[in-house]
Amino acid sequence: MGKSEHGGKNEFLTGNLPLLKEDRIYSFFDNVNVDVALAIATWCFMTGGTVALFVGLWEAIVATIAGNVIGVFIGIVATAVTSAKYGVEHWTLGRSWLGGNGMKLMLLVILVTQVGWAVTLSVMCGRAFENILATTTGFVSENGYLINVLGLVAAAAAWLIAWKGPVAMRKMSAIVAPLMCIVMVGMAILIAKAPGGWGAILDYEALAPVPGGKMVNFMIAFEINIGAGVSWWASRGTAARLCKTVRAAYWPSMLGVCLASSLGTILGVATSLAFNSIDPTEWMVPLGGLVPGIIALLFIAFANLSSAPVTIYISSLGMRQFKIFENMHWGKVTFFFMLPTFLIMIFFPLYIYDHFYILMGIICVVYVPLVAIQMVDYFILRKQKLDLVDMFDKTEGSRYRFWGGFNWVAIVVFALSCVVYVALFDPILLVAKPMFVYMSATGATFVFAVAAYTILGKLFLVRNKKGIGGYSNDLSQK
Amino acid sequence: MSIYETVERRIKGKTEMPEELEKELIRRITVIEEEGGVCQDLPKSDWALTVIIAVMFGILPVIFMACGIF
Repeated sequence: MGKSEHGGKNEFLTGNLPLLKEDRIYSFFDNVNVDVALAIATWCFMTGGTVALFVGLWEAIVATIAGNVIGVFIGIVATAVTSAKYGVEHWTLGRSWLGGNGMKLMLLVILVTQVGWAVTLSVMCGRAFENILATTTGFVSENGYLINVLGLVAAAAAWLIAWKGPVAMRKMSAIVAPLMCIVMVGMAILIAKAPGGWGAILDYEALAPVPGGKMVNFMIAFEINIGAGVSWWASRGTAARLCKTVRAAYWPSMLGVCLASSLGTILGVATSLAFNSIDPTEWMVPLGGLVPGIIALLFIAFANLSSAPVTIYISSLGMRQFKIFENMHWGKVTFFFMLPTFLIMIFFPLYIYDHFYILMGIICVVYVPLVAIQMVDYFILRKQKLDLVDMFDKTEGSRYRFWGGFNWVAIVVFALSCVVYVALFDPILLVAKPMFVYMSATGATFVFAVAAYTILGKLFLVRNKKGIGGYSNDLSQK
Repeated sequence: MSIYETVERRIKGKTEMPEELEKELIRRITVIEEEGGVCQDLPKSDWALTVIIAVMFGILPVIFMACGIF
């Protein structure tokens, strides 16, 4: 089959077939751009604003770097390596460790969080343009309807870019990544030049620390940053198959995402402490002055326009796991993913944006057990060998069907791990339990999930005499 | 039996894909099976570097903070 018969190369990039060397479009440098453009979007300012509630600047710097390193490491190590090695995107790979139906079940939860991200980015983009209008013309909309309109326009623009696929996203990132780096450096310089400079901000206290002492607040800040790091799991796993080598998939994510998002988060903490606001669109003009502030707002608006399409791309690829979307035109799939976002932008755009930390909480609870299970499954139980035939075989005969399409061992470990997480830390109310300070909820959940899935996996999967899951059989003998 | 034929025998008619797409899938899986993956795994030196980074910048700072060193 020639490429033209399926509409050109983009048809493969937006489909679920494994990508071969000749299909891959991201070099190491391209992936650095995509990762930086994605990571440095305004969500890291919002994370920084949340961190500033609990700790001052110095503790925030330590918690942010440490949390991002741990979070990104556990988030991408299994998914980026397997996706790049086999050319298969994150969701199809999920069949090998969750079963086809188990993966769809998890996908539904993950899609909800991805809609949350798309809404957050669209609102942030809309607010940036709204502030530019207010600053330049003095126009302020009654009842805030302008947010709905501008956010909707931003969401539509992001959808159109995602429709164009990874090639358009690469071009957009090549422009946005350097611009956002300039904005970051500019912000750091402006903070240094402000009265008191960085030294004054170092002396500021946290905005709303919880009772329990400094270490509890530090661990909460650490936890929030781990959540931010782990949240790259799905997107990096899907982008990795577009990279020409495993190194090009792995290191830009490890270092690019860590460094870029840490820098953005730390700046977010600093400005939140200085201006007592977690919304960067509110303090850009006061910080930079009229013209530089407006230019920075424009950059922020466009940065969100480069991040949102990545979210739409990975989520729409995930939707292809459902039969109804499997062979549907790419533009329609992306539209159906964006439909809830459009509706939210029309009716209650600020609800998710104002409850951003709940989104982070859900990600921590759900993603940490999943990344632990995926790591154990690939590196320990399968010894880094997957069978693509079983992965694409949708009949009952596929060993990756497990039991009725569900890997119940993984699902039970997932459920128990969620309980462990919530027993240590309430991610919605941000309340820490006594043991939390000694191990963090993510640390304890990760260790529990790794231990439980290793033991139960060896007992019920590797030693399974019927060959369920394909762990015990020599793959070549099937 | 060639790898292509083996893959075809195992998967043909089981993917719920249109016939042409399924043929392309078989071709792609064959290429990947022949080469053991589209690209090489990470070398051990990269894993070692990852562990060093994770310990130095991820774990030690938290321990230092807990001990009051930071």
